[in-house]
Amino acid sequence: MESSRRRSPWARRTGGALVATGLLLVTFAGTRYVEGAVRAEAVREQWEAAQVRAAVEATRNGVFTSVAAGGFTPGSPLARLRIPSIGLDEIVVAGVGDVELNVGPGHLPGSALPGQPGNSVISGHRDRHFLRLGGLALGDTVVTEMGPRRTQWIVVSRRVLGAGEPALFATVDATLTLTTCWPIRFFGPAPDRLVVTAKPLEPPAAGVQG
Amino acid sequence: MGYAFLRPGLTREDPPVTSGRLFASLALVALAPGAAAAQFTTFVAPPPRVDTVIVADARLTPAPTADSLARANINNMKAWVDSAAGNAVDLRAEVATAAPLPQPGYFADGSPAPNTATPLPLIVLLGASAIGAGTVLLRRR
Repeated sequence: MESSRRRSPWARRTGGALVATGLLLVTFAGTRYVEGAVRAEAVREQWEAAQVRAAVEATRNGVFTSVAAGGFTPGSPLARLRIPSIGLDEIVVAGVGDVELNVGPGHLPGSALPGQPGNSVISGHRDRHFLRLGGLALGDTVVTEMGPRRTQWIVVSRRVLGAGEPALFATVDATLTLTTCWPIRFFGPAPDRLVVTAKPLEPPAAGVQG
Repeated sequence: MGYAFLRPGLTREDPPVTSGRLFASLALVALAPGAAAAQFTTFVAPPPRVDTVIVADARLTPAPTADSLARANINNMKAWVDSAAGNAVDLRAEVATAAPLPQPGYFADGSPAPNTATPLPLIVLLGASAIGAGTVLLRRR
């Protein structure tokens, strides 16, 4: 009777190995999430400090001469993205690499800056910053802030495309394109992309140097 | 058996030509590297002054960009390696056919959306499942 109550060595070893492996996996993923959150907070502080500096400079000189807090180096804060309807308020960083997207939504290098003529592409992870992007509906308002330039956008299209399908197109007028993976609730690398396009409520203000 | 093929103008009817000097020359050529304990692979020429040629040709190339300059540098390295190996290199052709390389991550018309796929949710799920299964096994009696 005593021996039947004891755990078998096989179950003990396998159970221990599974728990250890699981802890490693969860620790790895958790470290990535925590690292991203910490860096996102640092990036927000950088952004706010840059905004203050820009405001002081504007008060002194009358013009804004810089927008991005850290230039356009990957990972530096570039703009602020707000979508009130889904409660999104994130600092957009330059670059769409793995490191940058872990910090926040990333601005695709080579695309227009938010509010400037052309297509401005901002991408984010569906499990973090763009978690609620799927709830965005046509007609919703998106706000981007970049230095003194504050642009209000209206969502005009919402498409789901395959990962390899053409999704980004050059435009003459100001366009904001937000992309993330689709489906939002999906375990593993999601096969599709959600592409949300918005147009500005007003034409971009001229004379403000990015 | 003869070596008539080595002497143009001789026919099969001519007497075979054997030359001790020929054998000696061939043997010398074959054995010299071994005797010198060295490897004779090819003629190593000094690198040509490719920069001057590249710049001159780049001026002829329509609308050179920074990307094509990067490509030209790679071609320079290839030209240097080829020249070191004794191969003839046509630098003009290399530069003329060098197309601007797309810069990684740059926005191109009709390009797919950036890769935002992340395996982290799957890793969390697998980790949690492994912990759960392991705990069950450890508690099983």
